[in-house]
Amino acid sequence: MDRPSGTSYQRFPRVRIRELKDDYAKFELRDTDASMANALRRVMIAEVPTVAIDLVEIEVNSSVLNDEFIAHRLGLIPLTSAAAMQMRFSRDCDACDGDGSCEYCSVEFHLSVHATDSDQTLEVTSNDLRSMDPKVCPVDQARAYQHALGGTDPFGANASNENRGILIVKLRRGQELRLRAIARKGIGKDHAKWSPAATVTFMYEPDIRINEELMETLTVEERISLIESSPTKVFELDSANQVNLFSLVVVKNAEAYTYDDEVIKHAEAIGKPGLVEITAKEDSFVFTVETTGAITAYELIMNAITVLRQKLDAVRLQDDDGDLGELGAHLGGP
Amino acid sequence: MNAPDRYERFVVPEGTKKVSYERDTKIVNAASFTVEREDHTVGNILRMQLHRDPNVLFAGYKLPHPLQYKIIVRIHTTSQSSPTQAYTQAINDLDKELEYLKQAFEWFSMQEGCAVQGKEMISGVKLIFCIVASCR
Repeated sequence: MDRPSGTSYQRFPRVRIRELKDDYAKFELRDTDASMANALRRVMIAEVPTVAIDLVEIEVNSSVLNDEFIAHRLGLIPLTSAAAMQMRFSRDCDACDGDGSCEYCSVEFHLSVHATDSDQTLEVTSNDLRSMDPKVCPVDQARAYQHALGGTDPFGANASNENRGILIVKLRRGQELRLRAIARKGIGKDHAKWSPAATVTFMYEPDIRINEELMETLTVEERISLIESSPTKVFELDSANQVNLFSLVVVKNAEAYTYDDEVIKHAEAIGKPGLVEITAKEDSFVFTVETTGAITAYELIMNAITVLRQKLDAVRLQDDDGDLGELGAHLGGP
Repeated sequence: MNAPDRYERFVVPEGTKKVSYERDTKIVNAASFTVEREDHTVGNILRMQLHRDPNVLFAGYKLPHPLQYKIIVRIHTTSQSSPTQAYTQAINDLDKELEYLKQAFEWFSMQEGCAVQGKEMISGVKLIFCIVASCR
């Protein structure tokens, strides 16, 4: 094909995963720019699909909370959504006539709790929800199941009996709650209950340079006050590394730096501008990803990349778009 | 009561094109692309990728109004290229970058990630998942 300037300006980002737990990940992303990092963050928060309760039919509700209040609380319960990427959105599911209640696009839940002869308040929790599909259930039920199978607790909640579920409502003696709920696939852009992300943040990696020559002119007290001028523990005295019997000031944790400029201001105040220089590496990012438990952190990252690629694919020019002649000519067509 | 449906934010209405293209009437090799139901996520990566192309003289995007769920991407290129070509190239490059990124993650979790996971006391099921994911 004759493409006058069809050369690629692609980047090849590098990745280093520092920590990976089921619901938490910390990784470094390098050799790309802030737009890509931010696009990934935005997609993780608002466009990676999960499953959440969307439709509730209340049969009996004699609890103190009204129907819509309970429906809202049910919606916010995170459900295991590993299958969400393969599910269909109810609005474009052709297996059911738009009512959104077939196996391809929805999961049915039942809840039936009656506080009978008990003097104590009965707590209705997410553990009382009965799912019609074993793949989709409240996350703490899944966790308890995994625990029962003898697996270690993936979420690191070490207390073995801490799985009490998510409280929906408390019932007094004689009160009853009975309902049918339909969970559907959705995205956080539609409603935050579908967001799989608890937090997704990224920061520029700081590049901290200490001017050793200038540092040597400082007394120990001055060095300590410089270290303490930073509100976060970025610097420390390295007593093992001494020059002229003075401990060197070294960077203890560069990422603790919050770009507050306090050390730089302090250096200027003591008449030593340029003692510490801090710049942000504009192509290096440190990501922190935490999920609600609906999907694992690794799945969240991978799904975000997939979703972003799908979005890009959707914004491609179609053949019948715009000026066909011009496009055709440039692509070497007739 | 008369609130618009929430899905209107991201579902392209029927009869509307996802991307429409309009050439500038006065400047050659300049055009505006209207992308329906997209926002800063796509707009900003597209703009930054276009800036990497030396044939692109100008690339910018705007979200005209927060309640109009569309973006307008404006591209001006040299005579060596054309807005449509630069636009398509930018999308191709971004797509390849993301494919590469995905492989980088898979590769890393295969090489070291599983070891990291093992240390973090993740059940064997997860390890198998991790390996399966990397083989795909």
